[in-house]
Amino acid sequence: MGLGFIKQSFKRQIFAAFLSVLILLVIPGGILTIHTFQTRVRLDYETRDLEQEKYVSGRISEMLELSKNALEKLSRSQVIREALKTGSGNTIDVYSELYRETEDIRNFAVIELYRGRKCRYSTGTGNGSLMTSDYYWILKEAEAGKDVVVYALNSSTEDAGSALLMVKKILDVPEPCFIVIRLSQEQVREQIKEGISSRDGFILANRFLRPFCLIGTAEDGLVLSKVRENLLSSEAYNSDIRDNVYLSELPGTELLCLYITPPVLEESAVKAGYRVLLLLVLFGMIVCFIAASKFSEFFSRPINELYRAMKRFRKGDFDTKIELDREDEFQQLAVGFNKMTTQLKETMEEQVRSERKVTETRIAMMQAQLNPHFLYNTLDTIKWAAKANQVSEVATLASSLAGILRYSISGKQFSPLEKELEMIRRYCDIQRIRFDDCFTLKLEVGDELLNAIVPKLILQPLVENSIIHGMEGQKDGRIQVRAEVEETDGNRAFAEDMAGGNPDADYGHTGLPGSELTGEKTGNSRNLRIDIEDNGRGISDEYIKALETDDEETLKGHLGLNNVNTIMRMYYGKEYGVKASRREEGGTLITVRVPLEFGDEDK
Amino acid sequence: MAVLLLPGCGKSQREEEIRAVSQKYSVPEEKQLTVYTSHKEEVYLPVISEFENATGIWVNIVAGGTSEMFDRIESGEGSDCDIMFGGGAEYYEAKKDLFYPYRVTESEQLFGEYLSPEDLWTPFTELPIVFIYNPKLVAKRDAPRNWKELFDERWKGQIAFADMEVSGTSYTIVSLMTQLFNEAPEELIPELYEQLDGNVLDSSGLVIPNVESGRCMVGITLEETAKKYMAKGYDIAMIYPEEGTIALPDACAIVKNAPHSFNAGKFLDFIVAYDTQRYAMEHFHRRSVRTDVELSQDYEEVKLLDFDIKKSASEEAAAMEAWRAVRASDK
Repeated sequence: MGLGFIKQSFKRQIFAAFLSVLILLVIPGGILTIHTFQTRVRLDYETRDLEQEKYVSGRISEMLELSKNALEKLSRSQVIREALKTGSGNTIDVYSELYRETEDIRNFAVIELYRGRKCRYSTGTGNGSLMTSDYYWILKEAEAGKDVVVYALNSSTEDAGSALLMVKKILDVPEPCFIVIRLSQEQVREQIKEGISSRDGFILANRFLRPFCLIGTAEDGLVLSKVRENLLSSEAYNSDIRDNVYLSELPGTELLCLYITPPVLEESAVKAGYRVLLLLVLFGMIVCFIAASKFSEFFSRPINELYRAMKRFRKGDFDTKIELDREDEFQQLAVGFNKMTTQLKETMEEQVRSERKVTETRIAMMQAQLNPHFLYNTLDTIKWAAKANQVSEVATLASSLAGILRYSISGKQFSPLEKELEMIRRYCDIQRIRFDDCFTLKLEVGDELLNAIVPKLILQPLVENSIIHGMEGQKDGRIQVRAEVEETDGNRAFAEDMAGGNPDADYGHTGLPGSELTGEKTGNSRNLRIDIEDNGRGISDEYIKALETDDEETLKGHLGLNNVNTIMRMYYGKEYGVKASRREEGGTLITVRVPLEFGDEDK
Repeated sequence: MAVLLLPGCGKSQREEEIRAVSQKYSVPEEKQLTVYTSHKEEVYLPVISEFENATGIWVNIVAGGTSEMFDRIESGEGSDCDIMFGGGAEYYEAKKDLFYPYRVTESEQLFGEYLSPEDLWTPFTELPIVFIYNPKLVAKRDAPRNWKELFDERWKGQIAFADMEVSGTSYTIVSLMTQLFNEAPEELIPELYEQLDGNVLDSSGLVIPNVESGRCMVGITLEETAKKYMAKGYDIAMIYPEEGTIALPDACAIVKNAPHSFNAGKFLDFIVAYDTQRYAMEHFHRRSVRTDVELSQDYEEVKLLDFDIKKSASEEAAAMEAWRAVRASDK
């Protein structure tokens, strides 16, 4: 549903896209940054902490090492051995020996010499009579011959932890004698305090994690008891402790050092980081929203404009134009749209104009068809009226004219040859009356050709041409129309025949597509040749030439001839048509060639 | 890139170290012991610490008041507890079924009168009850010498005595007196209260400071407590009663179903060992329960009365009732 809601709006889509980019980039980026920062800082601090820890434990090791050396030296000192052995000796000598050998460590340690369980000599300031069974376990171990470093809890002090002791047995007669080096807590603290920063803590403990020394933040002992608890339950020693704990062994001893530092980045710092990230995301979302609004407006304004224009256009407003003040693809789109509407408008107007023209023509035709019928009927009436009044000439005129009229207004474009001949006869009847019977018409057409189909009204103009241009001034005019079938064997035969029949005519081109057309239509290559002969003045060379070259300017006076020629060529091709020539005995011969066809006059 | 990768490496290296150290020092079950103690830290810590050093056993210490510790064990909350360390033997007598008997290996060396007949508990030290007085206010010859003298008219309202309801020692004192005078607690308690004149301290820790400051002239407390304060420099004097006194041992016992009972036995052996006993005498002002630990010269011989612990335990409820009654009637 959410997706659908987003898909419905361009603005929402842009917003969603921006937002996903933001979320994809900012959130993982931010988290990564915080984590990296955190880890990095922690690592740095860890390194620093470890260095500090190393310094502190190193310092203690140093103290212990020095003490050990002193212990070694004292145990070999003849003066001291002698003094302890006998239980008496020159105190001054013993002390001077003691002080010489312990020069290095006296600033942090107290050295005591025990005979049995009584302290005989001590560099300490307190009284020499220390509790005899103090640190009862250490003496046992020392008696067994071990060099021991151990600590004991001193019950007489309130603070946790106590002195660090090193004990060595040097003599066994008659009672065991010991050298004890005592490092008090305060002195150890003094020695290492510069290595521990104020926010850190340090613990020196025995291997059971009983504290010898608690310093700084570790003073409350909570960390120590937690570490102990962890070890008792076999967990990592620092688990469940917020502070960083560094546990290490003091080499050569059974002591453990614990260095404690507060967490590098308080949780609040990390939280602050996440809060900043959250704010960043919120801010980013607002920016995204604004940017999406601006962008969508920027993009959707032209689109909306286009959409509105399209709507107007659809409703029929062809003058719709888009005005954008831009230079980008939207501008091109707008220009294209404007061009398209303009062109569409022109096209529509053109169509309307032409349709109007067609309609007008159709109306004119219908009007034109009205008149001939009226004329025809009138002519018929005239004929009957003439017959009744025995004016035969008028009757003939009216009857012929009516026939011609009927024939010429019929809608057909082709007609049988018989009808054409009939048409010529009627025409000549009229013309004979006009020209006082000065010519005769003779038709020589075989019955088998009467049904041949020819284009309508092709003979009448030719006959008219002969009468008008040939019979003027003639007393004994003659017009003869003959129709014959020409058996041709393709265009070649036809061309030879044409060349033979018309020596002046130049039929140089053969094999034109028209011949094939003829062959196909008739099933053979027979042509129908119609000759129209007169004994008039004869046609001029100029006309013959003009007819061959379709020179319309020259043929103006012989419009009929030219029209027929044009019609024929349009129907059948250039090799068919009308040819004119002068007869040797005087007069003109006009030859019409069409393919011989029978049948459908409506084709 | 390096910045991104480095922390990962460093982290794992450090984790490796932590793991190694933790593994090295992690303590197996058989090296563990959980001790519930009502002793003060200055007592239990040296002992336990030495026990750790001597045996290599890690001790988990849970410290608190005696009744608190007993309650935890009884309620099952202290199921991790192996051993109870501290508290008067009479507590152990009263809750016999919480503990498991154990005879320490050196039982021959211990004073027979301090031993539990069934070995249910093992004594750690003995703590005689003594009188104290303020030597600035009371001449040595005037000081009370025996229990009877405490009831003299001149000590009326001058005896520092803690509320029986908060101090186990106070009840032990009352119980001792009933057995000594052969009286029932219901008879003795009103007499005692009359003698105290309503002057009852809120805690046994206040007995010595009250005497030292002169608010009370005499007091009844444990020898251990008196000696501790005297070592700190308090100006008080101590008297061992003529008729004798009792020295109730504080005890230690293995808890039933202890998870580490074997180590608990070792602990019992350790606390009665010669060195521990001697250390206790010298540092804790407590008398040893061993026959072979010589008393140092600052301990006087003490005459001990016959004391029936079982009877004392059985009468406690009635005594408390009587005590509450007189306290209530006084207010």
